[in-house]
Amino acid sequence: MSSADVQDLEFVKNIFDNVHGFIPLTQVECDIVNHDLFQRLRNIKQLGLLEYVFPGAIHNRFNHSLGVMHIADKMVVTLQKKEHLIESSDTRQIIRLAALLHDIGHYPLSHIIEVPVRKDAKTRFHQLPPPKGHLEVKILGEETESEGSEQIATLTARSSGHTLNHQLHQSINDSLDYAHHERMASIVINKSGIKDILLDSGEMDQERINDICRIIAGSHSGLEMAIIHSELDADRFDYLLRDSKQTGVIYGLFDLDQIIRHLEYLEPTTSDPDEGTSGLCVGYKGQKAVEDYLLARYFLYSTVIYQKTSIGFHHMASMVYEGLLERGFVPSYFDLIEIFDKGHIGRYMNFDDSFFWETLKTISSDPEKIEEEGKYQCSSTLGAIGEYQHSSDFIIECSKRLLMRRPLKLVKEEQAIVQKSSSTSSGLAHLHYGPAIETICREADIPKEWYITSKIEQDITELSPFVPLDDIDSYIRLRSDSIKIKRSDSSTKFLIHDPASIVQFLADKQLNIFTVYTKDVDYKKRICEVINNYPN
Amino acid sequence: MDESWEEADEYRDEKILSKILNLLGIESIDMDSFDNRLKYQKLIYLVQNSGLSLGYGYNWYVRGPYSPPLTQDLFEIDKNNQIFESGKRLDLQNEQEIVKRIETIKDLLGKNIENSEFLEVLASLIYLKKSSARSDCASLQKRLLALKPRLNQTSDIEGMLDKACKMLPSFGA
Repeated sequence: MSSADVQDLEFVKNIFDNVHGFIPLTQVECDIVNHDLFQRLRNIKQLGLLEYVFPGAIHNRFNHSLGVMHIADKMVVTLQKKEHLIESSDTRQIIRLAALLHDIGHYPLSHIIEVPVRKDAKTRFHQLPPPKGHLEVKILGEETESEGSEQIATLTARSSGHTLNHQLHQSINDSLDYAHHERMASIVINKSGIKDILLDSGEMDQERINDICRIIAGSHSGLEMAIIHSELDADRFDYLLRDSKQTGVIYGLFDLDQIIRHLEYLEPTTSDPDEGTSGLCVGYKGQKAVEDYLLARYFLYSTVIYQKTSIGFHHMASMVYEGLLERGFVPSYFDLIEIFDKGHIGRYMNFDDSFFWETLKTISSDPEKIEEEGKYQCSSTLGAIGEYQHSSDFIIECSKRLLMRRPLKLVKEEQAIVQKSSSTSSGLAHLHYGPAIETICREADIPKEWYITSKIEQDITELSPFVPLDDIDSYIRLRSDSIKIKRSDSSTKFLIHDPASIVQFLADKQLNIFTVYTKDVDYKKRICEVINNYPN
Repeated sequence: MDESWEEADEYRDEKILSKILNLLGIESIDMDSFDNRLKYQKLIYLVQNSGLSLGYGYNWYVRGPYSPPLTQDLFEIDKNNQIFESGKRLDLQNEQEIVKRIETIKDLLGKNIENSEFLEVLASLIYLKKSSARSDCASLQKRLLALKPRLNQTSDIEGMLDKACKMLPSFGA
């Protein structure tokens, strides 16, 4: 097969990117980039609040989306030249569009806001009766429906946005993670002018649009998806280079071209069975570049993403959103689908970083406002269910701190690299346990909400595109997600099994970061007095 | 320190999973065998597609629908047999209906419940049907063989594909 089998595209414009240089765009891509909802991504910072610690980290989802498209294209072209990804004549354009649109459903402050919205939606879906003909397997005596679930059941049943989300991604519905930004993308694309742009291009029909949505959400089949969702995907490649460049922390740099040059697709053989790989692997000549890439990821995460001050800000913002969500001051997944159902695209347009900051300014300047009824009806049913999780005073104090960049006070921090299977937990792990927190707060005489803990347990060689700090337990660390190398005799091996690879020595290790924060020096002193005498 | 922090019921999902696998006729979990791992993955996929939700999302990997969280839970059970034993004794809500649905799956699969390759083909066809506009068996089979050319070497692959196609409606596909 020759390079002539790579789908030819007509590029009509170039955008200069500070990471990749000129990025060429086709007409349909240009039209999408010019759409209001894509421009919205300019106002969603890629790294949330990290600019409070790394002032250069002001890049956004707009830059990143272009970069992912550019890298995905390089990957597709390489694979098509090697006779992969050639089933459909338009595969290259479809993958480019999926890459370009992969973050179109992102929440303000990137993952910081996404985590509480997803958590809330999952909890509430869990309380709904399952669809007709379905049964959720539950233990006898477990709670089933709860207050407010009737309203949510009615809303989702009549929502065309949610129905679309449900129908398109059936393989992942059981996880109830409907509010994931990659699933929100399906709603944003299909319920806005972006769909018209795609159809008007004359290059695709509704089914190809659905394919784009499925590639983005991870419910598609085949190698197309691995370009966007795998250990070797364009998303990770771009964020690492971009975050490194923007923060000025050079540890994130790696040899992208060498990895892409040696990309391969291999089906497992019966002698090399493996049920859990995407099929995407790297030829042996690219092995060192892959090792360097994994180490670069580790250093970027441990230095930048998990920087202790920024973790404190992250937790404050997340808790503020939770508190506002239960009072109906900010939208939940259910409010968002209603916005799309009613065609109020402009309201979604404004759901960006500025929305978050403006909300904080409003409640900080007029604290009594928080006691009033919020305008998001679906969110406010949460408050009706019981007591608020976060007090008004706490929300207002955290809001002021976020606005003025006043960090939390660090009480204790411990970092250690340990064996994954080791039963030895961190010296601080016992301070994160519910009953221990109750006791410490009681003895230190501080409100429980000001005893703020953060627990990160991160594999060194397997880092996802972004591991939300609040959702760390759900991150899956498995051998099956590891990168495979194609040997010179065309057989494959897991990189973590290669005795000549540095990764082998790190594969069974994890970085533990346990942190405790509080409000101020006085609280810190009181907590320290208690925990210094607390039994492990 | 209170003992319950080590013993808290963090194995809820694993216990429910054990119960369902046991109802499917599996007496213990052995994750050392590739065939077993494949079988567990595909059986749970079939169970969920029969309308019994266990909460596992599935994505497409080289062997068809695959759920990393399920693998994690299975390894957890494999590591600690007590989870499986205690799961087996669990009482479920709507247990009669659950047992009935699982018996239907067992009847439908017959001896193929032990055939991991058949389970892979069936689960893959269900996934492809539910994630595309392809509705007829011929185009589903064509897509499957394009994604998994290895299957062309399987003896009587046509018979296997046809048999699996006939079962699709039973799994909502």
